[in-house]
Amino acid sequence: MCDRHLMPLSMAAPGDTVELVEIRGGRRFRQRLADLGLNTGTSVRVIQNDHTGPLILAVKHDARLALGQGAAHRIQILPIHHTSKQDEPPGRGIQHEQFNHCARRQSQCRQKHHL
Amino acid sequence: MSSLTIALAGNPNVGKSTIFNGLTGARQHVGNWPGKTVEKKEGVAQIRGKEIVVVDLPGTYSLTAYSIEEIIARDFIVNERPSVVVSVVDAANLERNLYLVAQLIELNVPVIVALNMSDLAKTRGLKIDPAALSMRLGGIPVIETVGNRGLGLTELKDAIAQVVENPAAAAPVLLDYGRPLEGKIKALEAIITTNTALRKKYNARWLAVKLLENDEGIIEALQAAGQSALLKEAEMVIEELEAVTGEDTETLIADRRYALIGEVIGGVLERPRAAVETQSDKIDRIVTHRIWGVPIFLLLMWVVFQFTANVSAPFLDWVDMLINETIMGWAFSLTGALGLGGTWIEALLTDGIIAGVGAVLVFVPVLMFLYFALAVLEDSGYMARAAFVMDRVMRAIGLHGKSFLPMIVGFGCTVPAVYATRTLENEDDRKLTGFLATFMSCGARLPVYVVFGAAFFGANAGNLTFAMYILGIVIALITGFVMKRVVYQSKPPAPFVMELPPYRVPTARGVFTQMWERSSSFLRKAGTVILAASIVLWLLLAIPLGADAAAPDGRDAGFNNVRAEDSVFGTLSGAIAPVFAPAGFGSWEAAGSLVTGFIAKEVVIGTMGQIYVDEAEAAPTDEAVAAGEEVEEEPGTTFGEDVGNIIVSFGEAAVLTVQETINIIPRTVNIIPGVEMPEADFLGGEEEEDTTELEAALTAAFTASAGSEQAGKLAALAFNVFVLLYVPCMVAVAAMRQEFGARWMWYQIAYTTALAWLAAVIVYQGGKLVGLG
Ligand SMILES: Nc1nc2c(ncn2[C@@H]2O[C@H](COP(=O)(O)OP(=O)(O)OP(=O)(O)O)[C@@H](O)[C@H]2O)c(=O)[nH]1
Ligand SMILES: [Mg+2]
Repeated sequence: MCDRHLMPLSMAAPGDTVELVEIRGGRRFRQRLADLGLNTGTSVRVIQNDHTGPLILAVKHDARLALGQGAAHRIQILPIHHTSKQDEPPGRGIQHEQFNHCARRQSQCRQKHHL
Repeated sequence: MSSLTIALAGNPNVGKSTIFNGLTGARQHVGNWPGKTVEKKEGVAQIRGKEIVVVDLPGTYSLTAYSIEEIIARDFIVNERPSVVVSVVDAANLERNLYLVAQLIELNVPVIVALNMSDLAKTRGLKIDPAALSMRLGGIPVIETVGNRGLGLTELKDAIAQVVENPAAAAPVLLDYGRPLEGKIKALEAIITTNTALRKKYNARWLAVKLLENDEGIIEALQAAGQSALLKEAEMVIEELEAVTGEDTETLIADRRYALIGEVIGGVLERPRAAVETQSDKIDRIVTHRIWGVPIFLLLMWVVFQFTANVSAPFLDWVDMLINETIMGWAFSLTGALGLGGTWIEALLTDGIIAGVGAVLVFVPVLMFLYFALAVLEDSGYMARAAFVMDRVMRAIGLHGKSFLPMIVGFGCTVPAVYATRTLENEDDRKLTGFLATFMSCGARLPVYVVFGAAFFGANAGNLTFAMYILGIVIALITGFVMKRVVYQSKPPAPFVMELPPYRVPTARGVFTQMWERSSSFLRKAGTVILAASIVLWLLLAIPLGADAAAPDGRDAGFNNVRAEDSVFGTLSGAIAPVFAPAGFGSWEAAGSLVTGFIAKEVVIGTMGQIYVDEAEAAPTDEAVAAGEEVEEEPGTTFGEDVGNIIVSFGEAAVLTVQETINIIPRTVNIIPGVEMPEADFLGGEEEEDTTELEAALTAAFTASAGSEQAGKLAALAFNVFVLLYVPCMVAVAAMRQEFGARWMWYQIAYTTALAWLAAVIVYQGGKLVGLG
């Protein structure tokens, strides 16, 4: 059931809600992102990603961040949920719950590996 | 601290400066993009009859500071220990904003939360319970405000007064980091508390957390203070924690803080069920589009400069008439009435001050329209999008989009642009950005383009201006491309992260305040620097130099009776003029104007006003006579007629301005080949193509020195290119020195001057080669 794999945020599609699982890079970089609301374990909604310019993310629901492709490439994510029409409410439906569950399991998995 | 100090702290763009202005009556720059305030600013507020010092700080996302403006904010809060911190929070973005509040709470200073932008939160359907938030944060005051409408300021003042009297009322609850962090924090805290030196300077718990966060600034400070034992201890603790959890400690701390915030938010904030796509998201889909983004940016620039150059023109003509005909006439009448006609006093007043300062003041309408347009851009929220769109382009030269923000600021004035680089985290990026920002055409360069545009390019005047703006950007990009490779060995830029503020309809009040602020500071400059320069220049033009100096009538020269080219200024300018001969403008007048332009670029036009108008009087050319005849032939107007005339022509100017605003549309549409859309014409073609005295004199002079009319146009173009590229002004140079050091400043002066000369020569000689001249 859990066939979702980690992938870089730079590959996420607009409409995806994804969980940030791992952020690669120096301490400075990771802390900077955390200050702006991009910490591991957070889920963000991808508003725009054309794979060439910066992404636009909905962070902590209400903030809109522009994030360069380079930085996005260093963030590993698990997709949780996708809404093709963005005004469709998220967090509804079984599918979402499954993905969510799945994401949590995988990130726990990964953490155990870390130990 | 003996007196009471209140600091305004918060994320960028949450309305700190707006609230500061509301509390103190100051006029700090506000606008809808992150990173406007880059220096702390003090003001005084009257709170319950007491004078309290309020400090507006730059925005920061956390107390771990990365860029200069964040360090300024952090250092003030941590080291200066204000009596109260008013933490300004964006209510429409509460969760992320509370991250900084959580850190302020940890500092254990009295905190008041100002829930600003509460109007925005409401329209987004976010329901916030301030009382519940206050309770969750341990009872610290939480006040709802709408900064730009001044709502909630009285309540905020009351809260401040209460906290000042009883600081314990705003003592927040501490965050509990839970296992395994909490135990280690307590252990470090215990060590710090036993150390008197540290205990005096820092809050022990805050320092313990900062150590676990590996805060570079704190570690450096402790190292300098000889606290290596504590640092060793902290390192061991960190290693231990990381071995147990498999995560680094700063991540653990950040995650825990957000988790706690999540809990707080739970009972305080109610969101609409659906994750709505906001208006801003919809606009962004078009404005930041991969393909449309850049064309939209260029189109907006085009409209801004059409607006500045063409729409302002009727008022420019009006002010020109006011100064050069009416006021000039009054000055002559006045000196005549006082029996000073024909004396050096009259000359100083008319040829010196009114001609010099007046030539610059004529452009006040142009600048007001420019500032208006820039204020609209700033308030709308588009600034951050321009940076977003230009990220792709900036990346090609090895910088990122955020570097484009100071460059846009540079369209207004280079000085704040240099300071605006403080928001960049990487020092190399910062220096390079500051260097490039000087190539953006600032408001002071605009008068030169406008005068030359009107004198040489007639109906295409706006296009000259637009071309200069674009050329500035192109030269900046090329310079950046080369410098990044040669000086910085292609080091990659810092990662690009930037907040995108929501779009907003600019408020009339915001736009006009900003326009007024900037215009009045321009007027002050005209009244001081430019006035002084005009007087000195008049003296240098009145004093003869050399034994063979002659008076205008060919006899021996004396004070205020010398041919301009034989004056001190004329002789010295003449000596350097040959340098500019390859660029087509090797006359002493042009060279002299460029030299005085080192002071400020407006002075280029001021100088030309003095020299050329003076010459036109001394040796009238046909055109100058034609242009100036109104002054000579209307000696009989009474004061009343003058005033009536001013009012009537002001009305006409207003009508024409509306017409020109409408005509931006056909002008823009007509760029498309094959399309011909008629332009509006309200006053029925009555508008005659009148050239001013200065414009006529310029056309004559450049045509004469270059040899033909076509060559004169080329020389004029080359001259504008030179003005665009060389050293912006003395104040900008001083700012460069302060921000980047004296060496960098000298590089900049040398590079820009050499580049300006080279580019001007290429334009002129290249143009001739392809047969344009
Ligand atoms: N809708 C709304 N807009 C506000 C409110 N307060 C301020 N603004 C606007 O928000 C924008 C940002 O305000 P500033 O005061 O410049 O923000 P700042 O926090 O000083 O920003 P930086 O100096 O860049 O950190 C401006 O356009 C203000 O007019 C508010 O309560 N509601
Ligand atoms: Mg500010």
